[in-house]
Amino acid sequence: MVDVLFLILIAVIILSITTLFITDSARVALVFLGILYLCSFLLLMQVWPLGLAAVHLLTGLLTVIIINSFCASLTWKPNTPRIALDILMVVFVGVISFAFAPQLTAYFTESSQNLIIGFFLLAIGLLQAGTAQDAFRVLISLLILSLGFQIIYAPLEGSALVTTLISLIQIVLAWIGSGMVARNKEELQ
Amino acid sequence: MNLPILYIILPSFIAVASLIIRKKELVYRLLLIVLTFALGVGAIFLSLRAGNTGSTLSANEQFIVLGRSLNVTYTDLPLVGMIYLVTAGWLVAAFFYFPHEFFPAFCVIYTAFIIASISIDPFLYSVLIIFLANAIFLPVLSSGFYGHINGRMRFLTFQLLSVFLILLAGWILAGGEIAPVEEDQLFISFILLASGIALWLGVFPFHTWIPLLAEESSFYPLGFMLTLLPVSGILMLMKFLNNFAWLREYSAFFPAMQYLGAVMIFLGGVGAFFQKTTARMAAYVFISGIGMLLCGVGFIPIVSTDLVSAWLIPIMVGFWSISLGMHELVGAAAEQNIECLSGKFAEKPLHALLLVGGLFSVTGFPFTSGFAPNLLLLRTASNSTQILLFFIVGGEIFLAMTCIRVILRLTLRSDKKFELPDKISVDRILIVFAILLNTFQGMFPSVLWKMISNAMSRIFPLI
Repeated sequence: MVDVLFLILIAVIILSITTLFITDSARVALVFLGILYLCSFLLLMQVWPLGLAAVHLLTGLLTVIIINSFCASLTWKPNTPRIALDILMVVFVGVISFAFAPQLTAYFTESSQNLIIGFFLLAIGLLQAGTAQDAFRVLISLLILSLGFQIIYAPLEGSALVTTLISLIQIVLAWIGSGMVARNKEELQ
Repeated sequence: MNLPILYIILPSFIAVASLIIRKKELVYRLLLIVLTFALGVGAIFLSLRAGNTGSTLSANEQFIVLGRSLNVTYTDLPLVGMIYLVTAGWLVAAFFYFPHEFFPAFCVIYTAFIIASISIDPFLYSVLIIFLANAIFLPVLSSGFYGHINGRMRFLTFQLLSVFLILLAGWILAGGEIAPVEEDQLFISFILLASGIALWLGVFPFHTWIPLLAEESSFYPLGFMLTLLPVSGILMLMKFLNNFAWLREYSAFFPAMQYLGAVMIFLGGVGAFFQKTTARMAAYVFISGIGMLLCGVGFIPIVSTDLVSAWLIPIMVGFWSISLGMHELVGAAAEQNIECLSGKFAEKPLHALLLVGGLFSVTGFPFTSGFAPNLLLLRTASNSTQILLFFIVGGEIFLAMTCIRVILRLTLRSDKKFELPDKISVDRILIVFAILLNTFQGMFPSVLWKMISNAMSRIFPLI
């Protein structure tokens, strides 16, 4: 991959992730989740046929639409210590990813760029899913985790069935998860 | 005739289609009960016919989907039949006790997905199918209570993570089929696989989702899911062992499984004894049951698949009995305190007996289906280290104390008089049948166990 494209992609991904975590509106978070899917589509195009990568993009956009239909009106109060923690988390995971992810090329036969971005998304999604109190944020974190895994796994396995199953999982996760989050908010109010 | 279509695709389609007539409750529920029962009996019948040397069977065992295949072979049929018969048992009880309108259809879909996960080739993809099944089953599990969803979100997180870890481990191990795997690669894949399985099955220290989920769900659907989920997990683990010689020969694998299983038995026993709510108590008993199965996998080098196949029936019967007993005695509000069991023996004696029988089965008490497998487990473990035996026996002692605690709650604090019912209702026959089956299996364990054991040794010939 051209280094410039990699730098642009990683910059957009880091900015999107940061915005996604510090925003106080579900709609804004979903817009940036959509941007993350677009970035991953550009990455996957390097290793997959256009058709399979397009399936990934369409699934991502469908995921965003499904969550939007359930949780569009959700808002929450910004919490300054939490925002600070999130930004620190992005910086910390970013540094770890740049330092250690390229060493994983010894185990996974793929480019270090893919590994850095995939590992970054996987780790930040996992950390957020573990630390977030809010169910909506946990759901978004799970989708980011899934995105990171797909970027790492794509060069290893290009099977249509796996792509279909992962896409199905993503859609079901969004549907079931956002349905639960919406009903949880209703009952809490 | 095509076996994958018959046992995976057709039941799924019928179950989805049956949702259209879900308001006609009798027809809807009977249709699915008959379907699962017919599939279960049919599978066993076909496997017996295939065993006869003179008979000729022409069913296709493979179904191609997106370049990969679903394979339900004649060798798999006894196991497939048993899973469908277990589902039929759950559906029959749901007919009387669990009126949730989506439960029967989702039960059949879940079962079909479990069969698909066993039969898919390459089998690494089975984790994806099982995650899909779990996610689809989650709304049925929830049963209308959404005040707290932490358990459900944690369940999704752990299951999703386990899918990714197992897929990565599988990718590394798959290289070992054609070329020797390096030592550090084997170590990494072992760590990934062990973590994935641990998250999937709720192995210590990743067991927290089971009690949390139990607090947020109805006993009955949770019991169904926790019966089939560990079975599918254990079967997948055995497929890994059967297919990858590297893993079988990896020195740390079997001891790790033994210790994990023993720790789960201990943790489940201690946890169940000290819980204040019925939901958490049942959840910890389930954790113990999963530990028994894991121990069975750990002892494969000594007793082959015998211990795993011996524990399958007690786990299935025990979990069914505990779920139904708890559901009927405690009610839908799964968060209720254990005090709510007080005096229930006089009120509902059969269900109380069913619950106690289920708890005793998982404990491995005499005259219950868990007795013979427990003896085999203890005999095998006695040749191993003292620590392992301490964890297993310690866990079983705490499980037995949990049983005594439940019996005391059910009987001692009763101010109601025990009365025999005037007429016998149909659902009572089912409960009596289940209690008798549990006792029969406890007294004559080899009848069903031999069939399962033979099937397992044919499905996994290399372990």
